[in-house]
Amino acid sequence: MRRIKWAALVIAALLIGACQQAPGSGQKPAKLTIAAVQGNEDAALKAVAPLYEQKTGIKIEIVEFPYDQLYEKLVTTFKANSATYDLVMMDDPWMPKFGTDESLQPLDSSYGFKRDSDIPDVVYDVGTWPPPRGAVPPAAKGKAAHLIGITIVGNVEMFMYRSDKGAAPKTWDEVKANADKNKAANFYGYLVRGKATNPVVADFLPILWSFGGDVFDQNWNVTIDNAASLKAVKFLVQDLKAAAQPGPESTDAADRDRLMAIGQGYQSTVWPGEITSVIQNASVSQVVGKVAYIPMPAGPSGKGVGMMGNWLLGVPKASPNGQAAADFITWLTSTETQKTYVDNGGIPARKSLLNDSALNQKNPYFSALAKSLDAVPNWRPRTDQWNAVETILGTNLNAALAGTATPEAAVQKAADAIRTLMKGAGY
Amino acid sequence: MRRRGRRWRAVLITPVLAVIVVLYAFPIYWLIATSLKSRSQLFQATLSLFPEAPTLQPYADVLIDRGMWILLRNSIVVCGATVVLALTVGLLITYPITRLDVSPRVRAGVLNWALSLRFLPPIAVVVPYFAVVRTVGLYDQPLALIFIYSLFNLPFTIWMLKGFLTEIPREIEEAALADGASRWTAFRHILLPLATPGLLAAGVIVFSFSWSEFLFALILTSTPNAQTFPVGVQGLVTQFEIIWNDMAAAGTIAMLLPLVLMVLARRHVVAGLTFGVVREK
Repeated sequence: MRRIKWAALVIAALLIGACQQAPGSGQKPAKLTIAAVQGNEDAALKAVAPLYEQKTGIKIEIVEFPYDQLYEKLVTTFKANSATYDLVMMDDPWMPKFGTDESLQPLDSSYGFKRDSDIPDVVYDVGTWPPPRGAVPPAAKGKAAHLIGITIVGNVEMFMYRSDKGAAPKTWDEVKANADKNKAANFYGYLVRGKATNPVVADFLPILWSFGGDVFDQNWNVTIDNAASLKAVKFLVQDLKAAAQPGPESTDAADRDRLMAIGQGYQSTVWPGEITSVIQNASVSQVVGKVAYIPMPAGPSGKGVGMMGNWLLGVPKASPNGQAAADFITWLTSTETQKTYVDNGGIPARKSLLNDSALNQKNPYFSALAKSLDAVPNWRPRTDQWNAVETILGTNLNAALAGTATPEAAVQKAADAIRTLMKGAGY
Repeated sequence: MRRRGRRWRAVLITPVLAVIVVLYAFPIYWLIATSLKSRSQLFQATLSLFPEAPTLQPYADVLIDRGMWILLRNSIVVCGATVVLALTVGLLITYPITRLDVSPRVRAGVLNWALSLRFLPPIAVVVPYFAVVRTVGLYDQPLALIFIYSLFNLPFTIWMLKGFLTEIPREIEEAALADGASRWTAFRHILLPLATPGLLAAGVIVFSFSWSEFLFALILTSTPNAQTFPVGVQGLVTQFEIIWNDMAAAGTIAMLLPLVLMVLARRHVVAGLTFGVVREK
């Protein structure tokens, strides 16, 4: 009888313990675990995290994964409703997937997050689901919008060129002219990041938008095979390729950065992460002070369109430490912490920091990043099917770049496959 | 005349062998040389075969700054435990079918079952196994890896041990039994010492197979609590940069332990691979 009593007591204690671990608990945990992307994007996060432990006593454990692996890990963790991570770092094209699957806790209604006027609206919009503007997936229509992620890396794709050799191009036509003019032996007029899937699509989308093309229209009709889109494809795989490095179809960001850093490239698109880790890094780069950064040049449509590539922090639904995780986000994105974050190579989204003249001296791309955010860059289509769409588009663009398919055939094949995919997904 | 023929053969064979040695050794040399290069040397316009100012910094970066010594420790623990578990279960299965009077049908059945496990592609079981691991609370625990590695290495262990145990004459054990030893005593004091080379060879090979496993380690772990070294090595390919010197240092470290074990036990391993696995008695 006594044994039964003891067993009941133990079971009750375990149940109470389990209840105390319910998601969103307000208790102060000993540790917060963050799933983060390995590389330049989480370097500043790692640098400032110990400061939070000093301030609050809560240890921040950062578990790093490479880009592709992080996405897969988050999908499996969310599907399993695992409480492994209290915070997760996400690339902005992943938000539709996690928003549709309701994998994250709403930061506004659950933890009182509000917009800060020092941070551009587009930065909050990219972390909001369903998206507050543009095409909304059928499954998300009519649902209340919630903030499910806060930007901690204010990435926007920009443009870089050798300012010691020429003036800033205002249009893509000038980009092409400069490429042809500067092309020489072992010096390439334009560096194409053309590796299949994500890399080539990231390089191409700003060109596509600047040429007035797009992947979808506002009603999810596929438009990648219309005249404007085809013109953009030809511009990349024929005009720019003619002045590009050998083997552009197998070139990724690491190869492009190396060519630029050793002084063998004139211009290319660029992400802030590439600038801080390689191009402006005096220990490896021979072109520090010789490269300038500008927002995307304009196309025939008359405007240049940059591309969002923000990294956001969100709180998984299964995290038992929701309040503590939200407190960490508040601390990390505060102006005070962001100053230290920037000192450690972080890429901020705060206007006050991006426009700070002293910080601009140290980070010559800040001004271009501020302008790019002000101009409201495009985001990749907000659909949970984006990863599959990107794979289809990126594979066919790569084929056109490699010369194994004509631009017309590649675009048609991609359009047909994307139409089939979207139809099957209920669009 | 015969001596001249031999000399000509040596003249012809030596360059061929030299080319083969270079082909095999060069990637290893390149790995070690890259691991000793600084990051700035990797960003030079021309590639160099030699490290200009050799540095051990990439090793320190990998093991200390990136904290991969924890993953290295996990790998050693997981692989060591896998060897112990696979050999124990392997012996429990192999002993009766080689030393006791088991019917040929049962014997063949057990061996065929083990063989069928070997043909099972790991990718086919990764999803259901993930679900099982989640349900029993072993996600992100080294134990989940130890169990699955043991299971996938079991067929190899069984077939290899079968070859070794069959080689040991039953009469030796029977003599011990006739002298009054129990089955356990005969196993422990007679059979086990004689089977040690076989166990050693099987252990080294199982350790090496487990050491380089990536798929299950990637899917079943999520933090350094259970992540193994190969998972960490893959993490050195970042979105915008491939950290070649750190990756080469990690590759050299990863290569070192199985290589040392293989060199120490090479005689037994070769013996095991040549007769233990393939010969049916």
